[in-house]
Amino acid sequence: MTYLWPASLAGRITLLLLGGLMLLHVGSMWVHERALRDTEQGARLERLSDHIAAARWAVAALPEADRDAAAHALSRPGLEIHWDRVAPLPTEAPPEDLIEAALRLGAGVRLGWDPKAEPGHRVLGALPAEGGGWIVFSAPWLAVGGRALDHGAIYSMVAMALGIALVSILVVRWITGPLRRLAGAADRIGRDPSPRPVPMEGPEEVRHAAAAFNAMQDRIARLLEDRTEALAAMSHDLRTPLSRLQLRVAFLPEGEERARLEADIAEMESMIARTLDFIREGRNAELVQPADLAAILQTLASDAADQGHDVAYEGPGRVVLPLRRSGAKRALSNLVDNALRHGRPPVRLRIRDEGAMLAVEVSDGGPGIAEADRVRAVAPFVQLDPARSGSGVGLGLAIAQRFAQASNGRLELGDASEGGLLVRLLLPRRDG
Amino acid sequence: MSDTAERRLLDPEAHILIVEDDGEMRNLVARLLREAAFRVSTARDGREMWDVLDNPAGQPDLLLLDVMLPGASGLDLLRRLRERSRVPVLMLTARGEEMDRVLGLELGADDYVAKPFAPRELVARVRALLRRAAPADAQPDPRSRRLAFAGWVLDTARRELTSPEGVAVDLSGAEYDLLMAFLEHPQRVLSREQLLEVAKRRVAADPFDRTVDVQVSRLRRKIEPEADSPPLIKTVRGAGYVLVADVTRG
Repeated sequence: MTYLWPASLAGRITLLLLGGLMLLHVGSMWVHERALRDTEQGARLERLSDHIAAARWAVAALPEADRDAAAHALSRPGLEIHWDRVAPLPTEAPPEDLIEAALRLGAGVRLGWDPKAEPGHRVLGALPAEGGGWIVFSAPWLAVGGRALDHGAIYSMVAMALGIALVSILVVRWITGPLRRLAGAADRIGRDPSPRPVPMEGPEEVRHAAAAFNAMQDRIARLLEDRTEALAAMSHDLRTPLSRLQLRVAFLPEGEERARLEADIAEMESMIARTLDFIREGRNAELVQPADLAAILQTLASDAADQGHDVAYEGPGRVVLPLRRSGAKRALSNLVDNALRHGRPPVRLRIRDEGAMLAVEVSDGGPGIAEADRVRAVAPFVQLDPARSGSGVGLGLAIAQRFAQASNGRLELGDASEGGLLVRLLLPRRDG
Repeated sequence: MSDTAERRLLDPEAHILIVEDDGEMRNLVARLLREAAFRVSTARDGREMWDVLDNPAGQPDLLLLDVMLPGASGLDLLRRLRERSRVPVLMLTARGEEMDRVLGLELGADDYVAKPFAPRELVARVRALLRRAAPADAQPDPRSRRLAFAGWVLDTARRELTSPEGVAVDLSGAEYDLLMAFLEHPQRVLSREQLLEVAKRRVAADPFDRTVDVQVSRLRRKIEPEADSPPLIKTVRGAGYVLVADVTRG
C-alpha cells in the first residue's frame, strides 16, 4: 500500500484522476455493452417471430401429412419448428421475462420451460397455425429487445459519475487537509503570541511547507524576543540617568519650573514602568495563590482617591480567588490609570459574578472607544488619540490583556452605563 | 521647622554609608542626604564598604546599598553583612526586578527604594528606618519577620498580609505602615497624632482632615471584611485607636 500511494500532492491528484477516469470508462463500456446485447436479442426475437409467422402461413394450404415436413424445413440454427395436431402442455412455469418475450410472437401463444433439457430445447412454445393444429417451436432462450440505452442505463451512469465525484471530493479534501491546517496556522501568526508548531504530515510538498513554516515561526518568535530584550535593556538603562535627573531637579529652587520638570520626570518614569510591566507580564514566574481581589481593588481605589481622583470600589468586602497577585495588581492599576488618563471621572470598580468566571469591571465617564477601534486599542504601543500621544506609551490595556491571557481569562471592552468605556477583566474562579 | 525638631529626636547626626558604583548617582544621593543634615560616607563597591565598616570610628547608623554593583552584588554584600551586623539597610533596587526586592528583604534588608525614586521619598524612608532602628535593638529576635495576630500573619520581609484562611490580602502603603504601628504597640491606645505621623509618610496629609480616620477605616475594612468579623481595631472615644489582639513574633 505504501509503495503504491504516491508521496507528492501531484502524484496523489494524478492517481485520483486516473482512478476516477478509469472507473468511469469501465462503467460506460459496461453500459454500452449491455445496450448492444439487448439490441441484438431484440433483433433475434423479431427474426424468430418472422420465421414462426412464415411457418404458420406455409402450412395453411398443405394437407395434414405434409404440414410437419414443411414446418420443419423452416427450422434454422437456434430454432426448431414442427407442426402438430395438439399443443404440448407446459411442463414448468416459465420465468417472467420469458413470458413477456413470448407474448410478442403472436396471439394465443403457449409456452413451456424446461431448464433441464438440452440447451437448444429449453424453451418450448406453440402457436395456433392457420388451417388448424399448432406450430410448435423450441429455442435456447427468448428475450425482449433492448430499447437502445434505456433509462436504467442512464441512471446508472449518472449515479456512477456522482459517486466518483463524491469520492474525489472527499479524497481531495483529505489530501489538502494538512494544507488548510498550515493556512490556519499562518493566519494565527501575529494574533496568538505563542508559536504553535504545525504537525509535519500530509503529502511531501505540504510537509516541506510545514517545516519551513515552523522554522519561520521560530525566527519570528526570536525576533520578537530580541525586540522585547532591546526594549527591556533600554528601559533598564534609562532608569539610572532618570534617577540622576530626579535628584538634580531636587536641588533646584522650588518654583513652577521645578514642578514642571518634576511632572515631566514622573511621566517618563511611568512610561518606563509601563514598558517594564508589559515585558515582565509575558514571562512571569509569580506563584498563583488565593488572594482577596476586593482588597486589591480597594487599595487601588483609595490610592487614586488619595491623589484627588474620583475613583471608588463598589462591591463585596471579600472576593477570594486564585491569583498571581502582583500581576493582577499591575493589570488592574493599569486599567485604573487608563480610565483616569483617557476617560473622565467618575471611575468605578466593580466585581460581577459570571458563573465560572469573575468579571472585574472598570468604567469611566469619558467618551469611550468606538467599536471599530477596540481591537486596536488593546494592541501594545498603540495610542488611539494622536493628540495625547505625549501621555503614555499605549500599554495600559495591553498589559491587562497579557495578564488576562496568562491567567486563562480574557479582556473585553464595552460601553459603560455612565457613558464611557467599560473594561471587563474576566478571570477564572478556579486555577487551571 | 518640624524637620529640625524631628532631627533633634534622632541621633545628633546620623551617619549614612552609601554603596553605589555610579559616581554621579553616588554624589547626588550624598548631597541630597547631606542637605537633609545627615553625615554621609560613600563607597564605590564592596571593598570600600568593608573599609568603612572595619573602621571602628566611623560605624554607620544606616546603609544605603545598591543591588547592582560590580564584583560582589549588593545581595552578596548584604548576606555577608548580616553575618556580623544588624545595622539598618535600605536597598536601592531597579524597578521591575521583583526578585531583587524579595531576595533583599529576605536576606535582611529593612526596606527598599526602587530606582528611579522621588528624592523626598528616599529621605522619608531613611528617617523612618532610623526612627524604627532605635527600639529594634530591644527586639527579642531580630530575625523574626512574621507577626501573627488573631490568626492573621504579616510577613514584614515580603510585606504580605495573610488572613486566617490563608488568603493574601493586599494593603496600600499607608495601611501597611498603620498596621505595623498597631502591631508594634498591641493593646496600647495610639492617638490620632501618633498615627498621623505614620500616615503622613505616604499621604499628603492635612492635619485638619480626617485622614487618620479614613486610613484606619480602610484598614479595618480589609481585616474585618464582614459585618460579623471579630473586631481587631477598636475606637477609643476621644483618644484614638487600639489593636485588641495579641501579637506574637516568629
